Amino acid sequence: MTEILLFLAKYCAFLFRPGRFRFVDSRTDESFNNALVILESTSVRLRIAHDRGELLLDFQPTVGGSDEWFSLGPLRGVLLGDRGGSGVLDEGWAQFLGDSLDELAQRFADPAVRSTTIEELHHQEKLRAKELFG
Amino acid sequence: MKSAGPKGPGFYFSSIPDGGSVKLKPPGADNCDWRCGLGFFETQVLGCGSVVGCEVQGLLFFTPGGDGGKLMEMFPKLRRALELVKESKVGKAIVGAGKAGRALKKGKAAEQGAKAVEDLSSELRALSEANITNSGETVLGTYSSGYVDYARSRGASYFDIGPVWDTLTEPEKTAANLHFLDVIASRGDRVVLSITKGAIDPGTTTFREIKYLEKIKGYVWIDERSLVPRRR
Repeated sequence: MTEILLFLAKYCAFLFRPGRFRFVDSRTDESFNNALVILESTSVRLRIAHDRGELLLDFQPTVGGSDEWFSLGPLRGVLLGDRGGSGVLDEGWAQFLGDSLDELAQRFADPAVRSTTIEELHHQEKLRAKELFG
Repeated sequence: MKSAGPKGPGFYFSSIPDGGSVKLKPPGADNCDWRCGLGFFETQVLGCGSVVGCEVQGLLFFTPGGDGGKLMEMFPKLRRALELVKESKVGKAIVGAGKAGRALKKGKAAEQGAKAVEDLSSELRALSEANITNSGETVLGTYSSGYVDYARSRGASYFDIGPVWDTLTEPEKTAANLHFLDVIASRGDRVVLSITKGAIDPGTTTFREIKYLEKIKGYVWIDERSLVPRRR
């Protein structure tokens, strides 16, 4: 858990500006020192995990019934056209998240655009899976 | 170690000092330290293509098979080393976890992969196998997706060595993980994921586990969440 909190404090202060995200859940586990926290804004839910020593982040809309989580690679594919490299959370991904959050929030706030965005994220996931696994 | 080296297909190479080992880091990871040798090869490079690691005449080299020609042009010594290995027909993929020097046994192919697992203590070996069941099924996945609960609900095998994990070195962690994969693969387990194929992030432990099963153990995808050993 410490690793997540330190990362958030160091690289993701933008999440905690007034009116943005709040902590809504957390969990720790003896196994692998695993932990996760869930943060929520009015339209975006973020899940940050410390998973076998790696920090991972995924997100979903807070409304609209989708219980799927998406990682930042596909989002980068939707917004910038390339999905980036390793999915392990680092300073670069934090920067991307900070730069993309407003647009993601707007997309998820509008039901029609949310639906389109989720389709685009699925498409990016398919492309990535094809690229990684054939 | 130089801070910038030739760019390989999936990672940057530093120079190859005589008698030393290749050091690598992923492109774009400018803030990441150069990582050395086999441990990094195991954990980061495995997904980049068909990777061959070999030890010849005391030198340790790695090259990704997919673009090996280009790298061989860069590194004549590597080319010669690989030729020697090829000629002697002992140069099959040597893949293992653990300490680079001990992991690679000179002149001996490690066809089962994870040769360094031999270095694993009996305690760690037992821990790695602690959650292996006779269900014929193993669950892999991310912590967030609850792979342990998913595995337990199916009576399937899963990898979990508890809090000991934090006391291990990186090579030991990799060796323990690969040992688990070796065992479940040797039993011919079907591998079920707690996440979909599309949700697997490159560069993560889950990704590397699957790549290991695919490339070293001959597993193939049968649907969006499952892999099985290729029929021989």
